[in-house]
Amino acid sequence: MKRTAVDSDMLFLPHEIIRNILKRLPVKSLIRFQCVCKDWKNLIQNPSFIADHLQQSTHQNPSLLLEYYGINIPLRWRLNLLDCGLQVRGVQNSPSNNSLRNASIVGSCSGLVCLEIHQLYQYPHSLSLWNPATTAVRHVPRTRTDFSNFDGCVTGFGFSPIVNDYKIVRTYAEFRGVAAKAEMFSLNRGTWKAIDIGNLKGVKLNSETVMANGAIFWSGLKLFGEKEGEDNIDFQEDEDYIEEAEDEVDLIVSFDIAKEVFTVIPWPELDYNGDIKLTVYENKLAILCDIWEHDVEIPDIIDLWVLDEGTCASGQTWSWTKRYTSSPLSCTLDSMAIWRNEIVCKPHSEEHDDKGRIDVLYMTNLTTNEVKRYIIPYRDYILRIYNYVESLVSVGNNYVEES
Amino acid sequence: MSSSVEAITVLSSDGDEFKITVSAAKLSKPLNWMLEDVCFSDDCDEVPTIEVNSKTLVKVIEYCEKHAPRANSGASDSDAEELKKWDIEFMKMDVKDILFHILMAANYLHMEGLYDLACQTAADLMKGMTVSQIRKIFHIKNDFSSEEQEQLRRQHPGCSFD
Repeated sequence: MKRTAVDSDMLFLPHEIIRNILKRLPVKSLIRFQCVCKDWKNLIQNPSFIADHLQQSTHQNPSLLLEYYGINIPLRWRLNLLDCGLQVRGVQNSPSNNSLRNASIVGSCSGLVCLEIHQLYQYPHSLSLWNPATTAVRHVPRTRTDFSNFDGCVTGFGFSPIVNDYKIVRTYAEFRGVAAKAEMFSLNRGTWKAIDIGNLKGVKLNSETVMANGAIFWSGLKLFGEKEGEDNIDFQEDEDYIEEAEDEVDLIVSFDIAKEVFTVIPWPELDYNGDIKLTVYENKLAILCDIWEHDVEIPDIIDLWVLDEGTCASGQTWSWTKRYTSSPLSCTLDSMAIWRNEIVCKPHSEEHDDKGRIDVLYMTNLTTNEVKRYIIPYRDYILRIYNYVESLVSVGNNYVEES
Repeated sequence: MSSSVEAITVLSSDGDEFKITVSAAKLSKPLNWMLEDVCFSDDCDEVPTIEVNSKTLVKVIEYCEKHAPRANSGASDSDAEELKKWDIEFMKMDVKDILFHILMAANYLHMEGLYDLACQTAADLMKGMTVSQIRKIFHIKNDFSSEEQEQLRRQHPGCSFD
C-alpha cells in the first residue's frame, strides 16, 4: 500500500496552500503571524503576497469608513468602520486621534487613506498617508508652492495598478476658484512634481473626489467669463457681476494616475434637477441623483448613471447610461455612495428615539429594490462615507523633501 | 467509456473501494481524465487508485455528489443559498485531523470550489489563534533568534511570540 503526504500523520502543507490560506486572513492576524517563523514572515512581507491579499480583501470584505464630526464640544473628527457583516467599530490610532488636531479624508483607495490634517494658520492643510489596518502613517512633505498667490486648493488621491503607485494630486485655484496650477505626489518616488493643467483652464473643481479604474474624478464647472485665467485684474468688487453674467457648464474632470493627464468629460444630459453625488459602480465613475419634487405628494427617487469610456479614431469617447432607478422612496434620502450592490443613504431629516437623535443608514439594493434601515450604534452625525478595504500595503518609510 | 456507466469504482490510498457517480467525478479534472482514459465497462478489472486516504476520500466524494447537480446544470439562487448552508455544515471538522487532508486532496484533484472553501475554513479557524497554536498545528519551529524577535516586536507592536 502506498503512503503519500496526504495520509501521513505529520502533514506539512505545501507553500502554495499556506499562501492561499494566509491571503484570506485579516491584517491583525497576519501581523501577529509574522512571528510564527522566518518563512511566514518573508511571505507576509512579500509585495506580491500583499497584492494578492489586497485583491482578496477587496473581493471578500469591502468595508465602509464612516466619517463623523462629533456633536459634542470640542468638535472632534472621528472614524468608524462598517464591515461586511454590518458590524460597526471604532478606528483606532488615526493620526489625529491623540491631539486636538482635526482632520478630513481626501480619499480611500486600495488599503490606504489620504488625510488632510487641519491646523490653525496652516494652509493648505498638511497631508498624511495612513494605513488604518497596520496603523502606519506617513506624513507627506509640504511643497514650496507659495500659497499666497492662490485662493484655494482641491486635493485628490488614488492608486493605479498599471504603475503600482499611489498618487496625490493637488490643484491650486486662482480668483473665482479656477484651477491655475497642479502638483502631484507619488508614494513610490516620495516627491512632488508639477503637472501640466492643460485642459483645466477655466475649470473650477469641487472638492469631493472619487477614484475608479485608475483615475481620480471631480465634478466641476467650466466658467465662461470675459476674463479667463491669468489676467491680473482686480475683480474684488465685481463679484455680483460675475455671478450673474457668467455662463457655467457642468463637467467631470478625471486625472489618469498612470499617465498623469487631466481630461475634461461631458456631464450626462439630465432632464431634471436633483442632488448629485459622485460614486463608483463596477469600477466605473457613476453619479447618484436624488430627485425630489416640491410637491410633497410625489415621492422621491434615486437614479444611477454610469460613465462608459472608450476610444475611437478621433480620440476618447464617453457615454452616460442610466443603469438604475429606485422605487419611490417612503422618506427623503441623501445618497452617499454605492457599497456592495447597494446605494447607501442617510435620511434627509434627523431621526430620533426616546433618548435623542440616532444615526441611521438606509441601503437600497440595486437588484431587489429593497430598502433596509440600519441603526448605527453611535449618536454622532455621519458626514461622509468612503469605500475601504483593509490591506498590508506599506505607506513607505522614507521621504526626501523636494529641493 | 460506455455511456451506460453511471458510477465508477475507485481505490483510496489505503486500498478501500469507493463508488463515485460519473457526474460527480467530473468536478475534478484528474478524475475526469481518468474517466476518459480507463475502461469502465462492467467486465473491466482495472480500478483506478486516488492518492487520498479513505477518511478524506469519503468527504471529497460527499462534496462532489452534493455539488454535481448544480455544477452540471446550474441552479437557482435558492439552491445556491441552500448549498452555502450545506458547505458550512460540511466544513465543521477538525483542522489537523481532516481539514488539512481535504486541502491537500482538493489541491491534488484540482477541485477549485472545494479548495477555496477549505482554504477559507482554515483561515476562519486560524484568525483568532495565537502564534504558538499556529506553530503546533502546522508543525513549525520558532527559528527566530532572540534579537530578531525583539526587532519584530519593536517594528510591529501587534506581534506576539506566545
